[in-house]
Parts: sequence; structure tokens; C-alpha cells
Amino acid sequence: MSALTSKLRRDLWRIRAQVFSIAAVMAGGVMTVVALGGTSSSLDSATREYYLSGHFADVFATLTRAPDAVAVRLAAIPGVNSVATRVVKDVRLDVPGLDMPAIGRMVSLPLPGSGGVPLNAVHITSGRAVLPGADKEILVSGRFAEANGLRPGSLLTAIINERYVELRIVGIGAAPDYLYEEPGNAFPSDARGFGILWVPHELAAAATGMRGAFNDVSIGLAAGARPSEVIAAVDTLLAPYGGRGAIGRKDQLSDRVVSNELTQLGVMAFAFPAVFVAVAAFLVGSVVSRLIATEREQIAVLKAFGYTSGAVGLHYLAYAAAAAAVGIPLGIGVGVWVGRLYTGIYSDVLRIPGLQFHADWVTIGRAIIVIFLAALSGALSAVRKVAILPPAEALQPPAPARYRALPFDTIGRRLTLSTPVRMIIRGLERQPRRALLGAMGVAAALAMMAGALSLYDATDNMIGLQFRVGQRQALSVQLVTAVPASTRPVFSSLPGVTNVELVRVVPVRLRHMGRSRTVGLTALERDGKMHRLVDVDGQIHAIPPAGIVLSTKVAGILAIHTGDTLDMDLLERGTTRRVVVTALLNELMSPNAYMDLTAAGSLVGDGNLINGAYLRLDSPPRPELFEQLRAMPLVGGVTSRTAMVAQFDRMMAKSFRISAVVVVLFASIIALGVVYNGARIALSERGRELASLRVLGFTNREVGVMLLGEEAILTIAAIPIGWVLGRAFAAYLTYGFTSENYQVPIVTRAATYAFATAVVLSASALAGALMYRRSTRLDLVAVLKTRE
Amino acid sequence: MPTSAVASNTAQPAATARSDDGPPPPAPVFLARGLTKIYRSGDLEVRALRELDMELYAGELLVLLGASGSGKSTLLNILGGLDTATSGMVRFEDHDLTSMNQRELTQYRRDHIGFVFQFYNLIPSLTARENVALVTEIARDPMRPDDALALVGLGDRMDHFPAQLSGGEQQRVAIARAVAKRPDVLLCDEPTGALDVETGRLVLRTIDLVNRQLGAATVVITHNVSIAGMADRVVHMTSGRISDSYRNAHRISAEELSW
Repeated sequence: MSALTSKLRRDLWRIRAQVFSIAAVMAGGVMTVVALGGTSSSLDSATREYYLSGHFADVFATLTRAPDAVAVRLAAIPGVNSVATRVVKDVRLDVPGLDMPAIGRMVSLPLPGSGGVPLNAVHITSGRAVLPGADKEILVSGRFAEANGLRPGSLLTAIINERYVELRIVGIGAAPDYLYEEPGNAFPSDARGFGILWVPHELAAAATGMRGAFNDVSIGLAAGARPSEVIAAVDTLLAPYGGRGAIGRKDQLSDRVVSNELTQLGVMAFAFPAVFVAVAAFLVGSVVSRLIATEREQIAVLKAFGYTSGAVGLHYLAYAAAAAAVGIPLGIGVGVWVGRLYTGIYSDVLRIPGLQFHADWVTIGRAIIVIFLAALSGALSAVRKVAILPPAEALQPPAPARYRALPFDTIGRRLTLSTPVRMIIRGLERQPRRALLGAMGVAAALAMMAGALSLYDATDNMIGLQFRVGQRQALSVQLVTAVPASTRPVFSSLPGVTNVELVRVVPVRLRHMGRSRTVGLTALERDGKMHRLVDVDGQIHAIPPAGIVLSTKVAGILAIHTGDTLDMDLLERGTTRRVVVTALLNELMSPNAYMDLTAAGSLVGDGNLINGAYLRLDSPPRPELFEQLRAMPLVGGVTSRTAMVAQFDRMMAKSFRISAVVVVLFASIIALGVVYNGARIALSERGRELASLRVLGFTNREVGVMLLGEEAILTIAAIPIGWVLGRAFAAYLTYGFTSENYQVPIVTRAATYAFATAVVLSASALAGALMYRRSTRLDLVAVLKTRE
Repeated sequence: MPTSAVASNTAQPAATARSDDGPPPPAPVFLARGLTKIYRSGDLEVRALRELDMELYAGELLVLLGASGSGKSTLLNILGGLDTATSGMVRFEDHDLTSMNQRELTQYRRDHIGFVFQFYNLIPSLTARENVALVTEIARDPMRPDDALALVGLGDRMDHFPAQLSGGEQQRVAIARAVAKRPDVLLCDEPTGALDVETGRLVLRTIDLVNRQLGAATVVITHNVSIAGMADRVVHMTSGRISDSYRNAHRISAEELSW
């Protein structure tokens, strides 16, 4: 072992607390890259692989009904590689153990031996496939099965053509077009109340009267085909069959959710490591600088004896490398653990077969490179000073610290500050850059925590606006068909129901100046109290008596303004109406279009029809209410808003627990690292001065105040900076969560910021206490005999 | 400074010279009996002080001579409340230093002791006046910092930072800082060790002056025998014991010292 290596080894041991505190910050950086980047790449690669093996289609279209022969014409469209037609229909389910009627989205399986590319193939995760000819065997989706405790062998009752049909579950399935199991309509769902049923083609066709016909088509594109051209051709072809407008992958609900998640992870996987890297670089820089300052004479001796600047420089870089060497494995370990937890949450929501967290070498390699760059960039300027230090000069003691009267002194004299306070302020004034960076380090810890936790506040606020301000019904009842509004008493007479509001959802295509968008037009009662139009700020907007209200997003897509008139294709009827845009609504979740129920009835021209009802109850739903709802063939499904919100809250709480623990831990590490090293360096620089003060009769406390005063001021100054940065950080993170269908307003909750502040202050106080203890052990005798 | 002008001050310690027929001797400021200090480091044992007895009287200027390792710094540290004896007894007035804990020792230093160090140990971020004020702010009956600095002849350099002062000036600021609290005892550890002859002489003159004007019992540690002439009493230490102790017939002024 070379002498320099021995020196390195012993010095590292001596300053181990500092090295470890830096290593911990570096570990935070590696952890975030591995956990977030790894989750992102695991999700991405599992999805890609599954899309490939499951033959996820490229273009999707739903229509009213088309004969099977149309499929051949679809296949003939240039750029189309494969076509799979299906019958898709929502049916009412009675699930054993679930008192509420549930909704099953019946999706027909391809006919055995139909050949071609099996687009959106169902992957069986447990149980077996449906046997040919077995017309009562079905597969169900994972989330629904788990929520209801269904397994292969369980029975379900579906209402098909007003008859109760018993279906046997033979397997649990997953499919690339239903990674995310949500109905994608105006009615919220909970896991127990909505599931996908893959059923034999015969059963679906019989249930819907679609023998020899289809109402859903998936298209695989040939390599190089342009989706937009194919979509246009498909729309033209399907228009006579009630085509609802074909969409590409990016508009397909399940894929859109997956890509949104990937975008969010991408934003977070950049933002969090950036904070750690910046702080780590600062800490490495300040600790190595201080080390070099105290070892000037040793450096001079080494150089005088013929060590090259490079060798000495490398020696000091090795301290940074040592911290990285400790931080990297630690960060990888914690990152894999956190990544597994996050991926676990994703696999609850997104049913992607084979989704498992794996930290691939690219991610780990990226983490390692990022941290080494941080270490190097932090240490480099300090080490450069070593290289340019001429040995003769280094043998001289450094020039005494030059202080001068600073602007503050003029004010200070007027304020008659005590001498210790003056010392503290001059110390800060003398090294403004270091003071600023130190404050920024503490602010970064606060900002990271406040920003990350604000994300949950934002989500909570969003859910609150959507489901506590906007939609306040206890239950939503979906009807299998449109019925006259006079059906109201049927609902109001149900047990426990105190209030009923009627709703109609009409699939429409809105067109304006050559642009178009398919949406579900939600027609609501104007004076309704349950489903209200709420904007991002929580303001309630009344539904105008005539005309249509559009989400601002929809208006943007159509390039339309209030007062303009648009064309509205009624997709179920194949006719078009003209309607005036009377208001725009800047809402959280879009795209939507709203009308007054009566106005919608007159516009459509079929009288006052409804296909849903919102119910308010006097108490939690009673079994007899569900019993009666189940007995009504008209009822297609019932969803409980309360259950949905509770389910969402549970999921968020789980995610919050993991994130809160991780973010609090690492923000504390950052604050602790910054304050500890700041005070440690101050003690090293001023140890002799402070010991002299002890000799002069200052108590440990008084000296402690002088030592920690600077850090205390920096920490306190950092707090408002941290609040501002925290808000900016939250804005950046929520930006990652904003998509075409979604916007997440930032929320600044005092409690969250207070909590983050308290954590940072506690971590700083702990660092201060550690350093105070050290300062009480100053060697008073030594200072009398040593020169600076 | 004419020595005769302060003769009355020095008369007191002279009068305390033990004689059988004089008045009873006044109680000493310091009284040490059987003072022993052993430094242990592993198996190694260093006896820095061996059964040492000594006294220091009010207003007296004592020069403590000895080679490196003779134990003089250890003695000064114990008197100053920076270190504690392994065995034996040391009293300051009616306080027993040997029984004090760290907190009490801090309070003792704060109230009674003025230190002057070899390397000044000024606070670089404070001006001369502020360095003195640092101590007067926590003292019970201090002088004004300006008066203390005027006393050491630095009335015109009060707003200078240490880095703007020469070594001798810095040491005189340190003396002003030590005496501004009107200490009972002034302890100077090699006060001229880092200075050239001329500057050293100026610093010694300042110590001599404050001793005479303020009457603080003063101990000056040095290995420079030439300084002995300015003392009321000279104590030689060798291997942790007092090997010689004598009283100067008359103190010579710092200007007359040469080395």
C-alpha cells in the first residue's frame, strides 16, 4: 500500500461522518434514479413486450353495427395489416358477495380458428382458456376478480336480453387494450363494480343480436403506415354504420393511462435526482476545499518531494470517489426496494402481465455516471487549487483571513448588536457564495419534500373537486337503454333514496371548421345538485338553458369560441344537429360536453329521454335498495361514488406512505448533510478561535451560539426560499401529470409546508446538536500553544 | 515609565516577604500544595508536575522560567482553570480549584483570569475594539474597551482588524482584551515568543504597565531568562518542580531588558 493510500485510508476514517453524510446524499440520488427510472423502464419494457406478444392494435373504432363483410373492406384500406372485429357491450352482473349490481364489459373472443393476427389477445394469468363450444364459459379481468374474490370456478350472473344467464369463470385474463380497467364513460367506477368479461363470440353475438355483425374493430397497421390516414379511411368507411370515430393508440384509454404514467415517472426521474446531484456536488466541493485548506503544508511537502500535481490532485479526488463508492451501493439497495414498492402499486392499477421491477444495467449505469459526475464536478475546482499551488507558497501559512468593515456594520452599529452577533454576520458576509449555497442546500431539502408531498395534496384536491364538489351522488345508476324522464318515480321510490337526478349520456361527434372530436354529451338537470359543473378553481357553473357547454380542451381542439355554432353528429342515430356553444368550462378532467337535459331532448328530437340516474341516500345503502335495483331489468349497473373515492383514497394512501417515508428520509439526509458539514467546516476553520473564547471565559453555550449562529441563520433564511422552490418543484411535477385529458392544479397547503419545514428544522437541529457536542470537547490547552 | 512612581504598588508584595517579626503575611491569591500532574497515554506516564508548592500574591509580577517540558505551562494551565491536577491542592483566594467542575472553571476564568497567548488568538472577524468588547460584554465590572486599548497605546488603531495590525499590535490588543475585565490575575504564556526583540520589549512594557496600574497579580511564562529582571519574583522550574525561587531587589523596566 502506498503512503498516500495509507493517508487516504486514515483521513477517510477520521472524517468518516462527513464522508458518510455525503455518501447518504449521493445514495439519495442513486436511489431516485434506480427507483423511478427503474420503475419507468420496467413499466415501459413490460408494456412494450406485452403489446408485442399480445398484438396490441394500432387503431380502434366503435360503431353501432356493421355486417362482418365490412371487415374485408377495412382490411383492404392501404396500410392496414390486420383487422379483428368484436362485439363489445356492457351488461349487468350479479356478483356473489356484492350487493350492488356491477357492470361487466362483455368483449367477444375471436371465433376458434378464425385465423389472422390475434389482435388484443387475451393472456390467461390463471385458470384456462374458454373451450371451443362452451358458450357459458368466460374469462374475467384481474382487478375485478381480485376485488370480488372471484377465481376460476366462480359463477357470475349476467342479465342478457332481459334474462339471467349464469356464467362460469374458467380463467383470469389480461389484454393489452385493457391494462387499465375503467369504463371510460361519464360514470365513475370502482374495482368491484366494473370488470371486463371475455366471452365466447357466440354468447356476445346472441346477447346483442349481432350474429354476423360487429360493433368494435381493432386494426393492426403495416410497417410504415400512417395512423392518421388509416383513421380517416376507417371513419369514412364506418360512417354509414354509426362509426364513432376511429382513434389511434394515443387516444386509447388504457394506453393513454400507461403513457401518462410513463411521462410522470420521466419527470420525477429527472427532477428528484437533479436535487440530490446538486446538493452532493456542493457538499463534496465544500468538504474537499476545507480538507485542502487544512492540508496546505502537507500538499507543499508532497510536491516538494516530487509528487506531481496530478498525483496529489487525484489523492483529493479520491475522497469524493470514496463517498460515491459508499453511496452508490447503498442507493442501489434502497432504490431497488423502493422501486419494487412503487411497481407493486402500478401493478395493482395496470394489469400488465410480467410487470416486475427490475433495475436494468442501463438505469444503474446512468445512476453511477450521474453520481460520479456530481462528485467530480464538486471536487474539481477545489482540486484544481491543489494543482496550481506552488510548493514554496504552500509552505507558508495562508494569509490571515482578511475581514473588513462591511455595509452591514454601519447598520449594525446603529442597532448596537452584541459582538457575537456581529461575528456571525461578518462570517456570513465574508463568504456570501458559500452561505448562499448552504442556504440553497437546505432550501432544496425543504423544496423537495414540500413539492413531492404537494403532489398528493394536488391529487387530493383534484379528487375533492371532481367527486366532492362536482359529483356528489351516492350512487350512479346506468340504464341499459334510454327511457322517458317520467321514469323518475321508479327511482325516487327506492328505499333510502332522498333525491333523484336524471342524466343522459349521448355519444356525439362535434365538428367545427374541419376539426372533430368524439365525446359523450352529458345532459344534466339544470337545477341539479349532485352532478354540477365545476372548474379547476372549484367554482360551480350553472348549465345554460340552451346550447352546449364545452371543456376548454375540447374548444381548443375544435378551435371554437363561445357564441360559435358547431355541428353535432348523433352517433347512435346517424343524424346531425347544429348547436351554439354557450359556455366554456375549464375543468379538471376532459374532454366533456354538457347540455341541459330538456334542451338535449328537444335537440336530439326523441323527447325527454334519460339513460342514467344519480341517487342521493339518507344513509349508507341498504341491502334492500340493491336488491330492488338488481330486480330491475332496466338497470345496467350501479356504481358507488363513495366506494370509488374510498378505493382511490386507499391507493393514494398506500403510495403516499411509501413516498412520504422516502422523501422525508432523504430530505432529512440532505438538510442534515448540509448543516452538519457546514458546521463541521466552521468548527474546523474556527476551532482555535472558539477554543480561545472558551479560555477567555465564554461558556460552552455562548461558544455554541457563535459556532452554530451562521448555520441557524442560513437554515432560517433557507425556509422561505424552500417554500418558493417547493412550489416551483410542485409545479414542475404536476406539469408531468398534466395531459390532454387531465389537469392538476398545484395546491399549496399550509399543513404540508409546515410539516416539511418542521422536518428540515429538526434535521438541522440534530446536525447542530451533534456539532455542539463536538464543540464542547475543544482542546483548550492546545490552542495556547499552536499557531493558526 | 519611572519605576519610582509605582513603588507604592510594589511595596506590598515586598512587605509580604516572610519575616518572623513583620505583620502576618496577607493571604496569597494562589496557594498550591503538593500539586502533581500526570499525563497518561497508554503505558506511557509523564509526570509534568511533582508535589509542587507555590504562592502568588496580589499585585505581584512573577516570571516563571524553565526549559521546554519543565512543567511551567502545565502549572499555568492549572492556575488558569484550563486543566486540573492529578493530586494536590490549589486555591484561588477562598475557592478550591481542584473541586471545581467544568462549568465552575469557565465561570472562574470569566470572572477572575486574563489570558495572553503566544500567538495572540484574536478573533479575525472582529476589530481591535470589538475583540476587547467581546470580553467586556460578559464581564462583571469591565473598563470601556476604548480605555483598555488606550492603556496599551492603541487608542488610534481601535477600528483595525487583526489582519491590519502588526504582531506587536495584535499582542497589545490581546493584553487589552485580557485586562479590560479588571482581572485578579493576568496569565501570559510566552507573550513575546512570536515577536522580535524590539516589539517584544514593547509588549513587556505594556504588561509591566498594566500590572502596576491595575494591580493584577501577573504570571509571565518564558524560557527567556533575560525577562526575569522585570519581575518582583522569579521562579525556575525543572522537571515539574520549583528548582529555584528568588525575589528581585528591584524590578527593572522593560526598556532596560536585553536579549
